[in-house]
Amino acid sequence: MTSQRTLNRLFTLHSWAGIVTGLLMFIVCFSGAVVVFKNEIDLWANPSLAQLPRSEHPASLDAVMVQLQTRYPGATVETIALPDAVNPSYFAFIRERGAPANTRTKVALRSDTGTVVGPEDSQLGQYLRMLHVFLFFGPRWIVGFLGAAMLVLIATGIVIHRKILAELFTQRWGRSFRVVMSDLHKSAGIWGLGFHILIAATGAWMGLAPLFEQGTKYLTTSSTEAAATKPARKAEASEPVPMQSLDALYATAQQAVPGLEARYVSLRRWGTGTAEVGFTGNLRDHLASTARVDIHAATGVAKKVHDPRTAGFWSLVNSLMEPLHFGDFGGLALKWLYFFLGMTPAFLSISGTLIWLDARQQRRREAEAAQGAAGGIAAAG
Amino acid sequence: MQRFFLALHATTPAALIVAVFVHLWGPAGLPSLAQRPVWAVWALIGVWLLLSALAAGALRTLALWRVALGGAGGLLALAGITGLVLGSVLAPAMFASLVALGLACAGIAAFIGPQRVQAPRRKAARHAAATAGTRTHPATARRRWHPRGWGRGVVLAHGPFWLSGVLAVESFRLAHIVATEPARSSGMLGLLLAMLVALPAATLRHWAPRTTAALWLLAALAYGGLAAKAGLWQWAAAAALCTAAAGAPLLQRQHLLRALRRQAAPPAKHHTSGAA
Repeated sequence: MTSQRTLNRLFTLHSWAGIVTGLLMFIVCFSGAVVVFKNEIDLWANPSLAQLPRSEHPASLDAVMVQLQTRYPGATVETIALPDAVNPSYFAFIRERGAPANTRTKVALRSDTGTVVGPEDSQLGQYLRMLHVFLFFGPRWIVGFLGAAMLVLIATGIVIHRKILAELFTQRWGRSFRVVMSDLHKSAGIWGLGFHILIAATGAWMGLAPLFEQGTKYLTTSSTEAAATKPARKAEASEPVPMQSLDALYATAQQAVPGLEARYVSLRRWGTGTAEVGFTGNLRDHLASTARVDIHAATGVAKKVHDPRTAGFWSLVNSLMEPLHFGDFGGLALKWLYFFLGMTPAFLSISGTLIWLDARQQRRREAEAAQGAAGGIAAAG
Repeated sequence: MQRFFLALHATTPAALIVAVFVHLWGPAGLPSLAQRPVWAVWALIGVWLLLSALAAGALRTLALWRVALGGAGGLLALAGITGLVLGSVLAPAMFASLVALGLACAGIAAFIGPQRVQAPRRKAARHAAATAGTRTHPATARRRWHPRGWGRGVVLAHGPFWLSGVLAVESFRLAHIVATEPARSSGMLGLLLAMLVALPAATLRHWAPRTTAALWLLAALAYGGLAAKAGLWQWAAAAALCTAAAGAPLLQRQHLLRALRRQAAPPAKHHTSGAA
């Protein structure tokens, strides 16, 4: 049984961790709940795409590439997004000639002919996702650490509120602000407990995994090994070389990873001897989202194949994180469930902050009243 | 300040809906929204801070929440109508959803209010005042003044947290701002150590002093390893500071024991005067 002293300390830890991370947590959780509908929002916020048809047999990747190169000569095509269940069109991210190095334009293309429609009106869904995942400016680690903090808050919350079953149904309206808020805080926390653990754990994983991965790579690779490959690449990269057909490369990728349904095709150093094409996406009849095949675009030889089903336990776990976190595997009903449950941690941040501020204010009032009374007694004496 | 802090929470939905309108009607003369320009980010931040400052300045706490929620509800409905007018894809479904959410916001704004809570603040304060004279140590009474050396004491007491913070900030700087090897990779590891080893060590120091010392030593060793591999002076300094943090409780305990011994021993002056 946990001692009262430990409970008090855990309560302090819960309060402080909550108040320090509260605002960021609120922003991340609130935007996260909205981002569940990212694709739908992106589509809705682009009225100019409203008339574009959904094609049963989309145009080939090669046709898309030709259309892009014709419309934007000299531009670098970096990524092509394929039509999916929500988006009926092709999209491409291109770096236009003379544009700043970090500026990419998102261009829409008809799925039936591959004809370029033009730049999108906006990227609202992606904008909201950038807020949720990167807080606009930061790396993903910040939100990863917030996920870890959320796990600490959940763990301490469970220990300090031990009457879990009773608190599921306790709501005392008409009592003091702090009691009402505290009841709401506890019941929201307990009703959504499983979901909160899922969101916090998957969020922490996705945010912190790159740190662990990069750190491990750094520790296990000597600096001379890393430097050795670079000069050769540069020399090869300058020579223009004919490229293989993108559709043929996609077929190679699907052979390498059976059931691959590519969502993105990323092109690196296209047109040169070291060109590579990466096909990333989902697997048919599987939840995993990190399937990827990198192919040498000049020779058509697969360079790197990542099939999460066969790449070991941790790869499989890693591939499940994104769908579990964003709930994009069970249709619209699941998205709405994620949305409403996703709002509960945002509410917990607010209610926790309000409870903390109210307690602080009340302590102040009582202290002032006590001092006033002590002064009055002394004066009367 | 407190009200501004609350307003930052309360106005977030409204600020995001303003950002939605900005995306629906991107202003001409600025870089296209298809390029995900940075001005759209600053617009949101600016609107958010402005709304928060206005709300905090003009409204009391409850009104602030009610106005922010009511405003968000109205804006959501307006966004839904805008989608219909512009003929967006999914416009009817989005209209229905946005109006429903707007109504929910407005409903919450109407629901919250003094009738839901019966704040017995005055009663509690009167009770506290009445019992203050009889209490030997009023539990909640806190001193509003601070004794000499208070600041130093607070800094020392929170020293481990400051150390964790400094380690995290410097690691972040190396990993994300300097961002060249070996600073980048070693910075990432440094950040993990700061957040997952040093911060728990700072947090656990009252519960489990031995575990805390062990964690600080582990951090010191790891930072030492990073210093050896990356050759950056920051990691050597971090290792030294973590070692100091591990040893600090021991030094404090020795200091305390010495003070206790000094208190327990009879003052030397009395002995001499007695002998005389």
